[in-house]
Parts: sequence; C-alpha cells; structure tokens
Amino acid sequence: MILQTIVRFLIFLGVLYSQSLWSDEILVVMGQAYAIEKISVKQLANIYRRKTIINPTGERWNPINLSSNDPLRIAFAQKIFQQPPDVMEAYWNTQYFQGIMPPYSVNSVEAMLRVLETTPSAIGYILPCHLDGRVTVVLKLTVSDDLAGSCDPQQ
Amino acid sequence: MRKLIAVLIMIVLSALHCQSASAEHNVEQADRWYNYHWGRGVTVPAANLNIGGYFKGSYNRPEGQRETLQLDDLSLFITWTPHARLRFFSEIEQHNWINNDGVENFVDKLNVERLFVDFLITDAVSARFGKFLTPFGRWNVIHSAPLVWTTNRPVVTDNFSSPFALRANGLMLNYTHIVNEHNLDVSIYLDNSTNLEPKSFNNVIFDQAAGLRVNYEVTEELQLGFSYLSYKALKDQVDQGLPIHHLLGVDFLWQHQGYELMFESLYHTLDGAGQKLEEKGMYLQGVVPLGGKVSAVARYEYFDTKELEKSLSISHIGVLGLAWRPYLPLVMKSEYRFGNNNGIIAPSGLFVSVAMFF
Repeated sequence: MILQTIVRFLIFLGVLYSQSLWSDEILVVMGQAYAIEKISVKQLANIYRRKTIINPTGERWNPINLSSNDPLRIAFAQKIFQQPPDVMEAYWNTQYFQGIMPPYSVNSVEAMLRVLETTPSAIGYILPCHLDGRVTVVLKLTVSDDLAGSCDPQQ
Repeated sequence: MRKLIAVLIMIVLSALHCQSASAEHNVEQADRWYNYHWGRGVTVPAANLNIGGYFKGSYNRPEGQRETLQLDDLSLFITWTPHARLRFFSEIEQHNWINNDGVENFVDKLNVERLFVDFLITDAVSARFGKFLTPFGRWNVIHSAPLVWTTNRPVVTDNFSSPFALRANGLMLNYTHIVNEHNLDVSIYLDNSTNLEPKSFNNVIFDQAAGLRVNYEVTEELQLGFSYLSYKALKDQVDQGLPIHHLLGVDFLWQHQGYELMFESLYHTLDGAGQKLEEKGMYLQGVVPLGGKVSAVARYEYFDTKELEKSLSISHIGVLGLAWRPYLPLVMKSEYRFGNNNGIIAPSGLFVSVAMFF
C-alpha cells in the first residue's frame, strides 16, 4: 500500500517535470545602445497595444512584431494579451478609428534583431537560442508552449 | 438609387481587390514610398502620415414611415505624427450625401467630425486639444459603423435624443495608471464649443461643459466605466434660462471568444428656470457567435424622458439582429427593432446596412 502510494507520487512528480520541460522562455529585448533597465509585463502589453506611445525619456516606442502566424508571435501575444494575434485584429480596428496603427512587423527573427540593433527605442522578442551581442534582455517571459522548433533565426 | 448602389459596390470591390494578407505594415516591404492595407488606409512612412476612413450605406424600413436607402457616412481620417510627442488627427465626413432622393450638395453635407492634436506630456499623461468625441459612456467613442454591431445606435447614445453633445470642443487630459497590472484610465475635459465649434449637425451642442471619464480594466476581458458631465447647452439659451445639466453614467464591457456583453446607463438632471427635471436610460446588448463569421445580436433599451419631453412616455425597445463579418474591415448587418412608446425616438422596423473601413 505504502509502496503503491510512493510509486503514484513519483509518477506525479515525473508528469510535473515533463511539463516543465515543455515550457519555454521568451526574451524581450532591445538594441544594446538603447536598452532600458527593466519593464513589467503590463507596461510591455501597453507598448504593444500602442497605449503607451513614448518612453520615460520622451522617445517614441517602436514595438516590432513577427508575422501574425509565427509560433513565437502567437506565444508572445497569448502571454501578454491572453489572446492570439488574430483576435487582436478587432482591437486594431478600434484603434484605427482613433488614428492609431498596429506595430510594424518583420518576417524573421534575424530581421527583428537587425531592426532592434539600429532603431532607437525599438523593442522585440526572441528565444534564448537567438540571443547575441546586438541586443540586451529587458524582460523574460515564461510560456507553456514548446518553441524549440522556432530556433532558426531566418524563420 | 442606382447611383448609390453603384457607389457602394465600387467601394467594396476596390477594397477587396486591394486586400492584403495582413493588416500590418511590414518593415521589410519599404521599397515603395507608400503602403496600402485594406482596413488600415494608406501610410506614407517617410512623412509619418496615414490616410484612411470608412463608409456606411443603409436601407431603412421604419413602420409607418417612408423607406430610405442612403449613403449615411463617408468618412476620411488623416493622422499625422510630425514628432514623437505630437499627433494630429482629423475626421471629415459626408453625412447622408446620397439617398433615394438624389445627390445632395457636397459642401453642405461636409462635416468636421473630429479635429485635434495630441501632445504626449509623459509616458502616462497626454493632452488633447480640439474637437473630439465626448468621452461619456462606451458607445460614443467607438460609434463608427464598422465597429458596432447594429445599424442603429442605442437611444441613450443617439443624436436625436441624446442628452449630451456627441462631440466636445476644448481640452482633455488623459492619465493612465497601472494598478496591480491592470490599467486605470482617467480623462478630464473642458469644453468651450461656443467659441471653438467649426460646424455640426448635432441637435445638442455644448455651450460650455466639464467632464470626467474613468475606465478600469478589471481583467483582460472585463472593463468598468464611470462618466460624469456637467454642461450648459446652446439650444436651451432662449427658452429655458440657461439651465445646468448634470449627467452620470456607469457602463461595462465583457468580451470572451466572440461573446460580448455591453451595458450603459445614464442619469440626467437639469436645474434651471425654477424647476428640476430628470431623465434616465440604459441598454444591455449581447453578442453570440453563430459560426461562419456571423453573430447574433440582441439589445434591450429603456429610456425615460417624460419629464423633459411631455409628449413622450417611458420607452422599452428591443433589437434583434445578425451581423456578418466576412473580413475584419467589412460588416453587413440586419436588424429588427420593436418596442413600446418608441415610435418617435426609435421607430420599429427593419434596418439593413453595410459598413467598411478602407
């Protein structure tokens, strides 16, 4: 009886461990020359919603997105908005009526890194496997998605 | 009428022809000096300029009244951001320019809907100066036909019976504060329409007004709002001895996976000419997705203005309709409105419309 309980407990721990293996981390990054110290998830969501337009020093935020069907973009949107990118389009309809446009998008992580490196107050997101000297991490987001397949920066 | 149908078909077809896979501007497609995306307008990145707009055409068959087919709105937005802290916005609108009586004079039907400049003071505080939508309640600031679910506005927000001017002219300060990872938005505004109003077709125009709007994001899916407004109205000056109006409003919006519930209530009192009068109203609207990008819409409205308008009794109004959004910028709606004591302010009947951002 005791042995059976221990076995069940070990199986339970094993399930928890395997679930933690599936979780992944998204790094919110800015160009080395333009990075700020820290940012909260809500501040990040407001920047990507274009609700917060300028940063504390008065420069215009330049949030950069991957294309709307990119798994990394979908996981990022789900994390900070609790909604996938296609549902957010209704929000951008409302903002268009107020004269506010959605963030620019790029086709690949490499393109995002290039834009972040050269654009003041540009902010974007990558996976840990994409991290290089061009950018600095300003926030880490833990997501439950398995994003290992998105490590090719040309994707 | 043929001209109107032809205009509507041409606008829809031209937009469908220009349809893009994504409504977002792509940094890597900067080989042209401009970009057009259906539903997001034309952007000229080098000039930080965007030009867009929307139209609404409708067929209305109110009971006991003449049926109409008309181009209700043809609206043009221009947004220009010359500096990180500055943004200019204008909306010029042709209202009811073409209808089944023919084509009206273009200039006569031209209206300045909005014309303002936003100055971003800090990352949390901004100032708006000019003509803007009065931030009272929820419907009025998102009233454009492609955004809302029904052809007709709820009575408490409508041009005809609304107890407040739908647009204000003056200064507004906006402040956003993050409370426990939830946004709290506060707007305070002062109006001086007597001196600033360019031109308006609205029944009610502020003489002077002051107001407050608070919106709290309880969750990503639920928002609660509170509005207060005090004003003197131009239309009252002659016969009512400059009464002061006070309005209080409470509202909420809940959205979850295509389901939606929206509520607004309004309480209006009027002091002046030795008497105190009041009116009150509310609506509750629900939206249920049916599949195939079709949603069912139901709304109940209550409006009690009998103290202000002796000829009117308490009105109960129901609206049942369908809205089809085959593409996000395009919506087609059909609804039937019915009720008690609603003949003057919101007649029963069939209302059909098509609206689109371009």
